[in-house]
Amino acid sequence: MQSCATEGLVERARAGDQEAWATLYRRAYPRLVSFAHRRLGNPDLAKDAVSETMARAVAAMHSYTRDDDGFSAWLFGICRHVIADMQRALYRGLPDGLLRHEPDVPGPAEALLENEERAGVRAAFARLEPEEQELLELRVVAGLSSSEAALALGKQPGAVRMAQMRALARLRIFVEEMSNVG
Amino acid sequence: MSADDLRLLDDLAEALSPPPSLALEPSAAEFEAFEAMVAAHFGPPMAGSPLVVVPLRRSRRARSIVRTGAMAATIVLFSASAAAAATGKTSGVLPLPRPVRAVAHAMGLPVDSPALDDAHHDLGNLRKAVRAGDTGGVRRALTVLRQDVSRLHENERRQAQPEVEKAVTAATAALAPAPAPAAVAPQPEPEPASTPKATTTPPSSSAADTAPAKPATAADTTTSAPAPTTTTTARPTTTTTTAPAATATTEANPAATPGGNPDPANSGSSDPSAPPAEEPSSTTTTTAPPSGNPAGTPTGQGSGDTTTTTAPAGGGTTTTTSTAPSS
Repeated sequence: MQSCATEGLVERARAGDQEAWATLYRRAYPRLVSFAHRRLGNPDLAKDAVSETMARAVAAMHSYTRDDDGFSAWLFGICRHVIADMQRALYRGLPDGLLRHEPDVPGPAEALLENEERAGVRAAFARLEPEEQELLELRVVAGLSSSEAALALGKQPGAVRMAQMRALARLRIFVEEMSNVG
Repeated sequence: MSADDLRLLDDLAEALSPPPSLALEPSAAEFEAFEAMVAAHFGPPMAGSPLVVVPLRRSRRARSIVRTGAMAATIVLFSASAAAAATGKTSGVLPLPRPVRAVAHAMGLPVDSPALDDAHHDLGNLRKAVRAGDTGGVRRALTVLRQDVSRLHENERRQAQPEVEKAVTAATAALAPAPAPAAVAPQPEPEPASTPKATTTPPSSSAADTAPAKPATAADTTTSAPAPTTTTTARPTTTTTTAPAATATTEANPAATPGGNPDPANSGSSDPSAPPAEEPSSTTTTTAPPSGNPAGTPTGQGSGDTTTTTAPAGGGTTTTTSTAPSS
């Protein structure tokens, strides 16, 4: 993960330096959009989520009091809220089968071409609890460390480490089950 | 964390990697929108190189400059919306680039969100496809509309819902299979006579009503299409009574002949393309309801009779055409 800690970018961004903001945006964008895409299943929605996340970050920068190391975690904490808002909006009050969002799923051809082992891991991952999925996505898709994931989730680092261990243990069991079935 | 855990995390990272189609770099438009948003929030860039660190505690003058800049940026965006409003365009079709719209919306300016704008655009496409009768286009537009509406926030969806429902209803109707043509019984060979145009009026109208006939439009043809009229057309027996001037005329609209009427609902009046100016007289055709005969035509005619009264403008000739049921 590319860190922006050592360059004082956050401090400059807080002061309104556009160059610093541009650098932060470019650096955070790939991980934010990947994470949002995982959660929302749609590229356009993911881009909208990133835009909204950055808009909220700019607006709330004055309230960010942590040091530079926590900036990524802070961004992903905002992104989680944005995604939750979007998901609430997506699945509320829609006529059944009419306006409901269909997440992107790989087509038959893609499924055939996809690596078998990778497909097994994805299938096993889908069996985890939503909280476990989100935690592991923050780790492997967003590229956050355990401490940063804890910050983003608003939990204690120790609790997050334990939760991660449990999630990985369950994931391993599911992967083995999937490989036995396969 | 054990080596196994690390390896599993690596496998998971590979399995959950984003698809190649997902752009991992912001587009130029997104980037510009972001810069505009930052500029609007913090004000225009300060003089000097970007490496100059702006002190946290600015002087009063610097803060004033920043505030003025932010206000100027806000005013520019407000002006765009105001100009669009002044030209009569609604906020839903405000011609703003998507990034600018996103920023303006995020800032709380009175512009629709990009998602709502997309939904409006989709609605337009859907209506176009429905009007063109392009079922494939309707299906495609519906799919896109579904996706875009699903991205709306709740209040936006509530705002767009009536319009969406209306358009979806129209699209559903357009996609519905065309009704099978009603079986039409053989009709007597029409005599080659002048064919006064007749317009179907509601059953409550009197046959003696000589008000000018309303020109039949396509919309009328569509909406006033009760199936019983078709049945009436199929009556095998037709009686024509000619009044004073002894000009006997048999209603013989070619379009109403068996197999030649694409719209079975408007028997005897299914020529919507005929210009009303050509009508020689005011004409009223009354389709009697099953319960009675409001036109006061001769007795002996059962339910479902059709009476056509033609009253020329000159008042010389009145032609009454009555169609009686065979049973």
